[in-house]
Amino acid sequence: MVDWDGIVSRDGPAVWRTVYRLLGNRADAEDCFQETFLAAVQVWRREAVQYPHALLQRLATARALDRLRRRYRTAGREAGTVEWEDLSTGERPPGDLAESAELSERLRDALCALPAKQAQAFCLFYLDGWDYQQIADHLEATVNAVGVLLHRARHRLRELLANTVREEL
Amino acid sequence: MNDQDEQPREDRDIVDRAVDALRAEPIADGPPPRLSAATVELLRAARSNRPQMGLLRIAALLLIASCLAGVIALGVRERHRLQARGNERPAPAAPAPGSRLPRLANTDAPTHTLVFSTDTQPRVRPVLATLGSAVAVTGHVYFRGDIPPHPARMDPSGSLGEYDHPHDQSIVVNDDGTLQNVVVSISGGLRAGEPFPLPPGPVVLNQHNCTFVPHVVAAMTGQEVIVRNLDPMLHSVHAMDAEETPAFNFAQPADGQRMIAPFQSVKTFKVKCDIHPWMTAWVRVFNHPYFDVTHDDGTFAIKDLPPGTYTIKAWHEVFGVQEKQITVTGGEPAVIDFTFDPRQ
Repeated sequence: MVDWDGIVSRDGPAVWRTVYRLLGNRADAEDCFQETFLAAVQVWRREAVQYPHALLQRLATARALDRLRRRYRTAGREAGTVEWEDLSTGERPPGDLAESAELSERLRDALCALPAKQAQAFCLFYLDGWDYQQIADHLEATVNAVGVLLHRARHRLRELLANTVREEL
Repeated sequence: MNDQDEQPREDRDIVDRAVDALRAEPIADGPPPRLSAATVELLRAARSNRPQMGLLRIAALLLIASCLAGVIALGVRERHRLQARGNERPAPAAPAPGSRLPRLANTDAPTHTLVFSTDTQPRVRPVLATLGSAVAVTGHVYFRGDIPPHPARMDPSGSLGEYDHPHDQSIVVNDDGTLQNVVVSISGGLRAGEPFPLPPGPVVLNQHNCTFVPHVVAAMTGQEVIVRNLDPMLHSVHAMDAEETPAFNFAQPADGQRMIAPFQSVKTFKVKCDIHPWMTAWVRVFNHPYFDVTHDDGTFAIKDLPPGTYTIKAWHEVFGVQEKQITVTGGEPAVIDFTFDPRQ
């Protein structure tokens, strides 16, 4: 029997951090949080799960990326508007914060343009701190293939982020 | 990335700077949100559905197989008994595709569409249903009459492609002349003021391939009702009672699901999607758990009804209502059939 209560209380915070970081707002993150657990139920019905934490993290990343793509498809880049109030109450100068917020939003935008597997590998490695082997296990790929995925993801993101800067200039 | 952290900000790779910016963003304060009631319900249901491994799984499969064999043997015997009973009355008229269906007084639709089941195998489901010790009343609902030709597409533009469900589900007659989507319920004879147990689990109404599935559902007051959109497109869920007073009306995003506040009174709702006007469903709400909706073999089963004499009602959205008396002894399930014939 699956101890869902235990899983939710133990792994819920990590799932929440993942979806919130990728989506950047509470409303979307809350929906995605629910979706992650619903997706986990589907996987559980199909197969025995050895590492619930890793499964939930992977599902959270995938669902958040899906939602991010939908958001940018429907709302364009306005989703990342930064409010002055958000910038004026930190320890860092508002200029730094504005630049960081802008970069974060560009990265979210650019991630949507990557193939799903590249985006997932990138998020799991750079945002969630997984190693190559863990990613390989969960994406059903070899360690070398993960390296290639990450290399291509970085390369494409560099192009996309640079293009965004050029467009704005 | 540590060595890069030491570089001047402007010289660092823009990807690393963007990753750092994203990682540095504050996460919303407070604990993660609570899972919704619908999600919790699914998690609870999943507890018992997890695949078991090894010997335990094999043992369970063997047990199920042996139970099924026994049940089928009993089912065949019970079916023969029901068939013998059925011989005492005229057999239901075979459907005549292409013939016309008279227009009925209690419907606002000028014509109706019949959907034929393609399953031609004899079924044992009604008998299986009666084998549960809790089943108190069972039977079939039949249809007699002429059947109009199959309809054109429901979406005249055909723009929805594979999601353009071609059938109106208001009249669904099976090959053997039985009728689906009839709500059979106890309408008289229950002890007043007696609290009744809620049926287990929520009632689920799906929006799938631009159709409400099932087309008719029944619930008890206080029972949870979940509406799920399984399509990759927006739908709405717009319910109106008999007086056409809106009960609820909300948008249902692609792949979304929403739990409706449990119904508090006995009512009948027509549910539609405002975006795809051919999508309709019915929700009937009772203040007791003694009801069922005829399945794809035209059968129903009412469970856990105490011994006594009751009025039993069959309701169909087009053909209206029929009532009969039935006596439940507490032993063998009582068997009763209904026949809807628009010519009568």
